[in-house]
This record gives sequence, C-alpha cells and structure tokens, in this order.
Amino acid sequence: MKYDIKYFLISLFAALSLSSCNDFFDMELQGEYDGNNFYNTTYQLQVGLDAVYDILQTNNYNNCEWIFGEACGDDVVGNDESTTNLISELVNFQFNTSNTWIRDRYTINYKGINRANQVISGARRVQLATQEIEQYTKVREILGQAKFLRALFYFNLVKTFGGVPIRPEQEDVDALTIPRSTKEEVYAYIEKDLREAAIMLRSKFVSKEAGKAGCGACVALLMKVLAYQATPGMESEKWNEITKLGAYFIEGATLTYGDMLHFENYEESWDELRARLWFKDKALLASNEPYETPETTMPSLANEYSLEATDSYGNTLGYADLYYEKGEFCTRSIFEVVFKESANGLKDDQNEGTEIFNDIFFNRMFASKSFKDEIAGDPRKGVFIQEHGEVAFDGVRIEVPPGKTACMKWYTPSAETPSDVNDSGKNRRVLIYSEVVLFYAEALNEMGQREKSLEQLNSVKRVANKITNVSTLYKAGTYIELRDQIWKERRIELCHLWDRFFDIVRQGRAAQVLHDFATETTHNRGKNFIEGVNEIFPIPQNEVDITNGVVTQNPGY
Amino acid sequence: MKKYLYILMLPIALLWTACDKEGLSVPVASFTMSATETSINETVTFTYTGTGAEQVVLFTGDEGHNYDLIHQGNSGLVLNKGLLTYSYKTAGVYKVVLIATNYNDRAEDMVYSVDSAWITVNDDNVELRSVSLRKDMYLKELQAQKIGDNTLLFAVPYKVRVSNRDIAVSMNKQRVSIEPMSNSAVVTVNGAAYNENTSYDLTQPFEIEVCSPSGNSKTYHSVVMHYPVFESFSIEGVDGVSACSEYYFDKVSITVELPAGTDVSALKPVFASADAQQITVNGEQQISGETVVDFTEPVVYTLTTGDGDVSVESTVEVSVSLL
Repeated sequence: MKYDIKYFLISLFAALSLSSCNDFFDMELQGEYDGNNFYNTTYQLQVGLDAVYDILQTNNYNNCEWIFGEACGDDVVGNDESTTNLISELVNFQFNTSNTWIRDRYTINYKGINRANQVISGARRVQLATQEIEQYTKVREILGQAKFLRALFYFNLVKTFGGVPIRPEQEDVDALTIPRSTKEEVYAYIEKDLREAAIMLRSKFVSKEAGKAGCGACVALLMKVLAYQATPGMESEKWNEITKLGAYFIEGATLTYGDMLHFENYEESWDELRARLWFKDKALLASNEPYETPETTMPSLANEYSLEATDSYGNTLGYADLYYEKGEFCTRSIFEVVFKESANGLKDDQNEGTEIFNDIFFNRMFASKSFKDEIAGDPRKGVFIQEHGEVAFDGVRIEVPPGKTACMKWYTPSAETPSDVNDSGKNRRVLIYSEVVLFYAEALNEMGQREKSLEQLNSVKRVANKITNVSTLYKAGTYIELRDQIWKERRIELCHLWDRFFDIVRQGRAAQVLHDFATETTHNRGKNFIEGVNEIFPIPQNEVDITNGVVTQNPGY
Repeated sequence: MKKYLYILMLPIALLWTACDKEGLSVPVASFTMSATETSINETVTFTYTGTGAEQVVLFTGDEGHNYDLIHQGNSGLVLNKGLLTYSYKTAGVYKVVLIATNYNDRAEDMVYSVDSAWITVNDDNVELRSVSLRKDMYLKELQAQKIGDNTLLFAVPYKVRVSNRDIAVSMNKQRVSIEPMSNSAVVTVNGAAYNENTSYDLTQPFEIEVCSPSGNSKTYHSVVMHYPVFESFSIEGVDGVSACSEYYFDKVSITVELPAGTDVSALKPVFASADAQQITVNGEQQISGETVVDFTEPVVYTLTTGDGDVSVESTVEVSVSLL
C-alpha cells in the first residue's frame, strides 16, 4: 500500500508538471523588466542613460580608442609592435579583415549606439507624475545626453570605417541586416543629434553632476565633426560654420536655436520639434515659464571655459594639473570619461576604475623620436614627456623601461595611486578647450581670416609659455605657414589623447607623415600604409559574412 | 557471443578504410575573379568554385605572393569560406594561382590540384594632385590653380614679406613641387626628367607631362600672372611707402605721410601700374591725378589684370597720416 501512494504521487507530479509546461512559457514576467515596460518613468530613463555612459568606461571601448587613435599614429612607439600579435599587425597596417580589434571597435560602438537608441526611443513612453517644468527638463537632458553619446559612437565608427549602417531607433528582429549608409549620410545623422542635443542641454554640468555632457561638449564635438568633413585647402561651408560656432563658443557671439539647428531645413514644425525633444507644450506653460523659439539665444559658453584652468573652487591650476585629479572637470576640460576608484575593482562593465593608463604608461607606448623633436623647444616638454629615471613632479622616479620616454598625460601621481593597481580613478580627457580654440584658428585660416587665426593660435601658446616664462609666439604668415604652425601646435598641445592617427588622416597627410615616420624604427612601422586605402579600416569580416555581403567591404580590402 | 562481435566489428572496419580513401580524393580546383582587368587599390574578389577541398590557398601573383617564387619565401593567402578579397598596389599583369588541397587526418598524405588565370592591373591616372612653389618662396607655399583641363595658373606676387622686409621673388628660378595622383607615374618637364631640386624658368613656356605606368600621358601648360601693384603712388608730390602683407600674396598696404594741416578729405593721388588694366575703389574707376578721393579712413584700391578667361585681382590699402 505504501508503494502505491508513492507511485501515485510521482505520477501526479509528472502529470502536473507536463500540463503546466504550456502555460509556463506564456506566463507574464512579474517584477521583471523587458524592453516594452521599462522607461515609463524619468528614473528608469536615467538608469538607461547610465548604461550608455557605462560603455565609455569599459576596457574594450578604451583599448580600441588608444589602439586606433594613438598606437597607429606617429607620436608613440609601442614596445612590442615589431613582434607578431594582433595589435602590432594592426598598427603596422599588415592586418587582415578578421583582426579581432577591428571587430571589437565596430561592436563596442554599436553596443553603445544600441543602448542610446533604447533611451531615445524609450523616452516617448515616459509619463510625468506632475507637470512642473523641471520634470520636462530632466527628461530632456537625459534624452540630450543620449543623443550626444550616440553621435560620439557614430563619429568613432565613421572616422574608422567610413559610411556604416545607421541602426533604427527601435530594432526589429526580423530586419536586423541594415546596409551601409554613405559617409555623408552618417555625418548628417551625427550633426543632427549634436545640434539638437546642444539646444536641449544646459551649458555645463557642475558639482555633483560634473561629468555629464552639456551644451559645451555638444558644440565642441560638432566643431570637430565639421572639421572632419572639410578638406584643408578647400573652401567649404563646414569651415565657415566652424568660425561661427567658434565665435559663439570662444568670443561669446550670439547664436540662436534656429542657427544651431539649421531649423530652416527641418520638415517638422517648431511645436512638433519641441514635443519630440521634451520642451514643455506651449498650452501647458505657466505664465512665468519661458517659451523657447528658433530665435531664443543659446546659453553662453564663453564664461564656462578658459585656456587657463581654474577648478570648481576658483583656484588657478598648473598646466599639468589638467591631466590629473586636480584638473578633473576644470575649465579647460570639456568632456571626460569618468573613472572612479571603486569598491569592487572588477573589470569591464562593473568596473568604474581602469588599469589602462597604468598599462600603457609603463608597458605599452612611449613617446617617439619624431614627437620629441617636435616638442624639443617648447615649454610643455617637461610637462608632457619625461625620460626613464627622471623624477616626476610628485617626487617619484619614472620607472619606464631604460631608454624609453614616458608620456606624462597617462601618469598617475603618487597621491592618486589606487589601492588596487587595476582600479585607477584617473579620468580620460576626451575633449579639451584648447582643441576648440585650435579648430577655430584652423577654420579662420581656411576662411582667409589670417590675422584672427594667428590671434587664436597664440592665445593657446601664451598660456603654455607661462610654464617656463618664455615669450616665443607663432609668426604671421600666409595660408600654409599658419596651417603648418596650427598643426604643430595641435600635435604638441593635444598629444597622447588617443586622437593623433585620426587627426593626420583628417588633415589628408597620413601617408606622408607615416612614411616619414617609418625610418624611425627598425621594423619601419608606417611604411606599409597605402594612401587611398588605409585611411579607413576594413569592415570586420564577420560583419560582411553574416550579412551575406549586404554590408559591403571598403575598397582595397 | 564472439561471433556476433566479429559481425559487429566488420562494418566498423569497413567504415575506417572507406574514410581514408575518401579523404584523399583529388579536389577540384577552379575559381572566378570579380574582374580580369582592374585598377590599383580596387577590390578584387576571388571565389572558389571547385569542390572537395580541405583547404584553398590563392597566390595573387604580385610581389610577395608569386607562385613561381614560392621557394624564395613568397606565400599564398588562405580563402575564408571560399572567398578572398584583395587589392593590387602596383600595375602589371599577374598570374593568379589557386591550390586546392586535401590531406588525411594525420597529414601523412596530401593531394592537390591547381588552377590559374591572368589578371591585368592598370594604373592609368595622369592627373596632378598638386603643383606648388615653396622652396624659393621663403617656404610660403604657392599652389598653382588648375584652369580648364590642362592649364596651370601661377598667380604670383612680385614681392613677399619676410622678417619685416619685402623680398622680390624671381619666377625665372623656381624649384617646383609636382605631385601626380599616381605614385608610379613618371613626370617630365619640358621633355627632361623632373627633379624637385632643379630650378625652372617659369617665365618661359613650362610644360609638364605625366606618363602613367599603363602608357597613357597628359601634358599640362602653365601661365604665370603677377598680382598687379602700383609701381608708384604719390599724393601732393609725397611718395607712399608700400609694404606687402605678411598674410596674403594679393595684399599690399601703402602709407603716405602728408604735412600737418593738409585736408585729407579731397586728394588727387597720382599712381601708375604697368599690369593693372582696371583700378577701382568700391567699384568706381580711378584715374591717376584726376579722381578725388577722401582719405579720412584708409582706402582700398582693387587692381585687376588679365583677359576674360583668366584674371587675377589684388588689393592695395592706402592710408594717409599727417606729420
């Protein structure tokens, strides 16, 4: 009898579990979120935005940044670039289309785009509890930052690969294969995001909110994006617009929302645009709340940033401080990837600190001879590079390998050394104010306003001169003399910010620069660079394969 | 029981032997190319169309990948999923060789078959990227402008400003920087090989010929025109002092110092310019010694020379100060 009950129970369970199977897969998830029920509140939208910023902090993103932007350029020599590994194949331009770094750069930026798209498309669903204008501003600023970040990711892709697929804001699992857009279309998409984000965001986020991208970051990136579309020596509406944005950013000239957006090209009405970008509906506005129009002037940026740095307490900082903890979010810094020495110290997505600066500083890349020659007579020499065995400003001996020259922008001073070496809280400077001034100077020269161009160029140099109290300035000259001097200043002032390779490609002289550089090393890095081909990298092979060739390969690969 | 075991093992043994024979079947080597004639740096896609190969390797035939030089270290490229994309860097006619290989598991035995085809890579670009003067222009680069299909215009100043002095530039002794679009193109100047360190006389006919590796060529003619200047400029008998702009080739400034008490609002400057066919201020024609000009503020003269097709323009800013 006893057995009978046992069998009965077992068969009962079996029967129950079988029957429940069907329902089990159809059950509603309780207390879990999926793409369709998240983003109903401002708080959830902010969580989504945090996840977009999170991509910027991943090792994968940052490794791809320095490998492509710095290691491929002529400011540094990598310690193992003469050996055979995937990075050295890449920087020697002897890679094949299956190189995993090429794939990684492609995927990590699309990962960021995907997360930003979720925030941007999800913002439509947000329901506000109350109708206070601050509630609208909160959502608008989250949406604006997502647009800035999406623009940044697409800019990374377009300067690395040329035209790339533009993903729909809401992905459809039945239509995941998207063909490539042209370079021009991608740039237009980036510009639209940046222009809209610029009117959606406050000029600068400070104190507890420092680190978020504000209007200043959008305009700075927009100027850079415009310069990447223009060709040096050729007249272009892009150069002209950089001069207008520069006058607004640096000299405080008036610019309206309409000017920023090029609103005359929009098909949607002003009120439709307001609704989409989360400006409060005109009908709901209280009498004391402003109604922004295309004629509304942009917030002033001229007072927010300066070539001489002051921190948030108003203290003047030294030249080098910009690159250390003291100078985080100072007036010379426009956009940073924020790292924080964290409790868990884990890697990648959970990590808020990074080991990358330490790694590249001690083990991977050292200033090249050609860079040392360029900076030789400049007051910034001792600030930006130091030889093995020299003593740094904090009294610590620089222990890079013998015979190597350390890139001090990546240095972590003793006071900032983290308890776990892989968990440094050192922020990465992505956009700094002097780059904005130098783009303004370059565009002025391109537009034939040379006297003003020289004035801007020397404003950057004058501040650097204070380091050693010298007074050498750049000289008046014709177009080419000014351009050469601006590019020299860019190389020095913006060195080791992981951008040199893309800068020389933009200037249209990557082949010339890298071929000259090839004589510096015994393995002749740079000599394999093929003009007309290697300015952009190949689309990752697996992307071509899985789309059955819908995503086409770049010419020459 | 043992009997059954033998019966069971027989087919297994048969299977094993069958495997070996199949593994060493001779693969079929054949392939298609997206083009049999192409240009440098253009993508060519090679597609394996044969069957039964474990591995397919392709020798593209150019430097480093020449099958005939396989013992001198030349190597082939492995096809991934039957596909290879490649671009040729130099012009030529190349023999493309594809090797389809089969080998058994322990690589004790190997069979292969070969297919080959010819590909022609052209480099017929005879355009010029840039022609410029720099070395004898005190490092102030002056780009020749392209007019029409094959004419180069050198719009040049008589003098340039170097270290606060005006220095004459002579067009009869100029080192010229010529960059053709194709790195393999051969450039000749007036029939002789071009050399970047040779000084050329640009006041005489100056012809550039660009020959591509594919054999076609194109000849460019050049025209030199000077930015017009005032050889003399005086007001009330006082000569003006002129200085070239540090920033622009086409700008000159002139200052005239007149005695104190002179009425500068109505003066008749006397000037001469050999090149200028037209001299205007704000679009108004100016006649030496006749036109009355108000010099309270600096006045900008526009000087134009040339015919309808090709013309150059310069500006002279005249300011009058009182002693």
